[in-house]
Amino acid sequence: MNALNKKLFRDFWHLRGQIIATALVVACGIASFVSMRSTYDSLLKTQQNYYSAYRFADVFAHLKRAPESLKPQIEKIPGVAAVNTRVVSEVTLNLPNMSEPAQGKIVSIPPVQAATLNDLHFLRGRYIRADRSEEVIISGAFAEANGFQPDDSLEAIINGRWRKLTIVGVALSPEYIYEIRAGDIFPDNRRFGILWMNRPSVAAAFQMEGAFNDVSLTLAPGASDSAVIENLDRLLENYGGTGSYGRADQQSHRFISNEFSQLEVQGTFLPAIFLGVTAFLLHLVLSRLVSTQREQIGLLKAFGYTNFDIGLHFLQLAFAAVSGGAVLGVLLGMYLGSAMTNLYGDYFHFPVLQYNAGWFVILISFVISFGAAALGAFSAVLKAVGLPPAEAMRPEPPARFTAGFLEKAGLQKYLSANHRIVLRNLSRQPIKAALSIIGISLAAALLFTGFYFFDAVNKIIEIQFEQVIRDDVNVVFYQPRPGRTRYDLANLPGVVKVEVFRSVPARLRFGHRSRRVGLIGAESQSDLRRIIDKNGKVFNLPPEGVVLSKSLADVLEIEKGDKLTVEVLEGSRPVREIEVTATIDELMGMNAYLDIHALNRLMNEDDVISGAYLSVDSLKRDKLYSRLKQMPSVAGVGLPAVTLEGFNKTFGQTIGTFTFILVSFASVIIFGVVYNGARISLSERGRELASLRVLGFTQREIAVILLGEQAVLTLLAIPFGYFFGFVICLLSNNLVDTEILRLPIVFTRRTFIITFIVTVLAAIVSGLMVVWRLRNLDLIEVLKTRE
Amino acid sequence: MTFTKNRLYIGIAVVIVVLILLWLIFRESPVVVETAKAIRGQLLVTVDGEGKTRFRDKVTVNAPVSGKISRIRINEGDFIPKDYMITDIDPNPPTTRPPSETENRLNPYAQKVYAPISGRVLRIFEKSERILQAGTPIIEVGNPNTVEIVIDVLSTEAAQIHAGSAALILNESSAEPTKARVRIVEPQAFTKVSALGVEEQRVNIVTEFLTKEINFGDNYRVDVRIIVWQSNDVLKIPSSALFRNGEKWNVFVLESGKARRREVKIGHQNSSESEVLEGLTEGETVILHPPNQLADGASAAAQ
Repeated sequence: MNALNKKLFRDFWHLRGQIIATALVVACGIASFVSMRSTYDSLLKTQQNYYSAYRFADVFAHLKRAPESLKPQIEKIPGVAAVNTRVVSEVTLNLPNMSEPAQGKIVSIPPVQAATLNDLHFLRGRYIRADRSEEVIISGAFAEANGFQPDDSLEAIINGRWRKLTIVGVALSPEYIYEIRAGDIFPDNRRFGILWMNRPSVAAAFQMEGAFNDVSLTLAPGASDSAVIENLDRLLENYGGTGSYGRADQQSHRFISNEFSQLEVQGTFLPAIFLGVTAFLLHLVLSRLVSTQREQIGLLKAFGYTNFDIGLHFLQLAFAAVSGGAVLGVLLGMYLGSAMTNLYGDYFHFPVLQYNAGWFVILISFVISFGAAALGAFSAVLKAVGLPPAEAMRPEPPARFTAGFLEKAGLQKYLSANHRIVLRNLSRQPIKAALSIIGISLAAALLFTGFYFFDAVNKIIEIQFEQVIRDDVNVVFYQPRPGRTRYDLANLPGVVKVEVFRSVPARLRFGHRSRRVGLIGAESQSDLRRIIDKNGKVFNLPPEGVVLSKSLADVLEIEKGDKLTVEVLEGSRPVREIEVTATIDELMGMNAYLDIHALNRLMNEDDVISGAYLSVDSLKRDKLYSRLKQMPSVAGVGLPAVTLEGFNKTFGQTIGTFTFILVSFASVIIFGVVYNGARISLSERGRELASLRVLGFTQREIAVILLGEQAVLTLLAIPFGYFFGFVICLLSNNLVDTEILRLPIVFTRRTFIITFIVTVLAAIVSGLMVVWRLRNLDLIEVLKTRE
Repeated sequence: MTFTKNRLYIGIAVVIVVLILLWLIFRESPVVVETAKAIRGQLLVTVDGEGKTRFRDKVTVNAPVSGKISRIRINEGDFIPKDYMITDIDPNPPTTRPPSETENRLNPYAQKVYAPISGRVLRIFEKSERILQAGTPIIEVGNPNTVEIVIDVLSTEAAQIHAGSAALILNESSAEPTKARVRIVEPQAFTKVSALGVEEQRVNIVTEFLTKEINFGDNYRVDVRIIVWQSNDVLKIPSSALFRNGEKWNVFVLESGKARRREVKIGHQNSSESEVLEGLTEGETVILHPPNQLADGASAAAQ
């Protein structure tokens, strides 16, 4: 073993505390990168495999009713590869042991199993028998939430008639990976499920023999979906088509892609910050280490070691610290990644969820961490190498000390000797102090960000479920109903208040941009469903004109006062120009609102409603549910409270886990930064402190000098931490803004205080560890070195 | 000595800072709520429904004899006085001469048809000259001053309504509803399938307008609220403040920054307001749509 290697091991042992701290920081950075990135990669790959293996369609359309003879014409549209026509309808379900009405979506499947688009993956049971009309296959999440097994039965109202259905199988479909009711945002798997049923019996039940009301198709390679959509729309116009759409607007796909893009941003953005802090930390440790080792470097050079040898030596030291961290980080990242992937499996229903941290991710993480180490070590090593031996062997020339701001301001008389030493040290080395502050504040910023995500999601829930949605029950009808239905609803048991709405599928156009949405006609002074912006301000609909969510206005690039072209895709399909009277910065969804009377006038219809929001006396709830279950015109019943419960169970858990990981990583980083800072200043100032001890300062007093500096730096860093945290939140907020959800900017007092406490605690713990070292300071050893 | 004193001070300072921080974290931040005051005022309990207008004095004029009816010169919407001669019917029309010669030459034996009431012409069944059978409807005349509204309500609700009950006719165009009064609650109920697809027993309620300036024609759709109970001086709160606790109605009262749950006794109720019989006094503040995180004693602040 040569002398340099021996020195390496000794340095290693000597610096073990700092190396471990650095390695932990590296591990956190790498773990956050590996876990998020590998989760993203695994999910994306799983999704793509699933889509191609089960032939997920590219274009979808719903219509009123078209004869099966239209199918060949659809197939002839240029760019279309395969076409699947179906009968699809929402039905009310009566589930055993559940008073609330549940909702099912009946989807027809061929009587004999064949390879179709959006094919089924069986979890349990078997395919339906062609001659048994009562057999159904149900969706996985629905079966799991209700504990359904093959051979169980359930009741459904199909086209106004009670039907008893027998479950023969449980399956998944690429169309319903995220299994939610149309128009919902959060899943409620207990109360919503897909029922796949024999095509002839579905057709018979809905008088759709020889006809279809739903079409999905795949595209030929290289075909554009916009051209196909346009042709398909033209074809379906006479059959009550409500506008065809590509995968981007398919409900399940849209949610998954949104979630994935969020994950991608978080998996890039946050680890980048983590790793940036790591590089910064390594730089700090190494450059200061080099300056404390000036003499040794000079000595080594005098003995004939080349610049390359010495450079390599310090790089090795840096790499040693990093490689331990990187290995630990990759392992931890893979563990967390597989846990996160499984967590996603709770609400994204894939046939197999294969977690696979690709070698590429691991390679990248090693490259990044060693790159960060090299970058951090680079200037320090350059400095070490550049020292001429004779110069280096002399102690560092004392800095020129003059009266600083303390003396100039005349403040010194208010401070004791050791406090003065602390402040002078800081004010005389402003760059060093600034770097330390930046390091600590970046770590604090990460902590801040972790709590922010948690608070932001809670705020969304609060606004959505307390401020926006205030109905107990909402009802949607199959067909638009006359306005007097509101009086019939009010007469139902327990109903206290009824507010009605109208919703109409439409394509909105402005210039060359267009978007397919459901126009919502709401009561202008609605109390049960309010329009609220992200600051919680309530918006009342004006009697005329259309009001758009800001995100929708942004997509269409339309502004207040512009004329929006509305092409209604229902009824007499009027096309009108309406003025945009306002845009609202909403937290959820992309909505277009009109006053219900204005919408009915636009449709050239009298008082017509699509559904209603009810406030209900909870004592008579069950009676109301049993009445609603039997109403043939009711297509769906929504219960916001039950949905919220479901949300808290699934999403709450995920967000909690995410926050926990982020916060614990950030805490480790804070500890690493503060501990390293204190240790370095101990080794830099060992001689000075020992001299003070000899001059008669007590151990406590020199501890105050050493730690006082760190304490001041930590306290100064916290406000900067808040500031950086704020910036990170704003940036990541813009990046994760999606059509479905926009995070509000909320910072609770708790976020500020916990960031403060964790930072201070980390500082105290690392301070105590340094004090312990200080106690073992060998005065003679330290003082004799340079003689 | 000073050393331990310093230490004591530092210790105390640290404990105080920690306590303040803990308090700041765990201190409940007040739940922001929407509030309203319990006030005395008017409360209406109504039965709401959709009704149709009709002219009580509406007469269909039929052909008294078979024969050729002359072309009717009046138009739909025209006002005609009582005994106005609408047309005539020639039971034995001359057929040998060309039309230009028979024109304006009335057969002395022609039956004249008179308006039985004064009013507006609602519909003309036979506008042109042609041969009619006796009993064929010719025109319909209605008196717009006798416009009334028929509303069908559930038979269970009809029991609360009496002749003379006040009613309000809602108008989309004007905020102020038109006043009306129930004339008759029909004694016979009938079976009807509701808009929700359910068979129900319903009863026709006939109401008449109390004002003269009415812009309703025959067979118009109107929204009607029949007042079954009213008082001008009750203690009332918005119904959205009420929630059930077991079988009892409860509200949250906002008292000096705290939400206090209180049992209340509710009297008459409509869809937006409820009469409070016990449990609240005038001027107290109640919390509307109480949020889930609100508990008895929790601090709350009005929006």
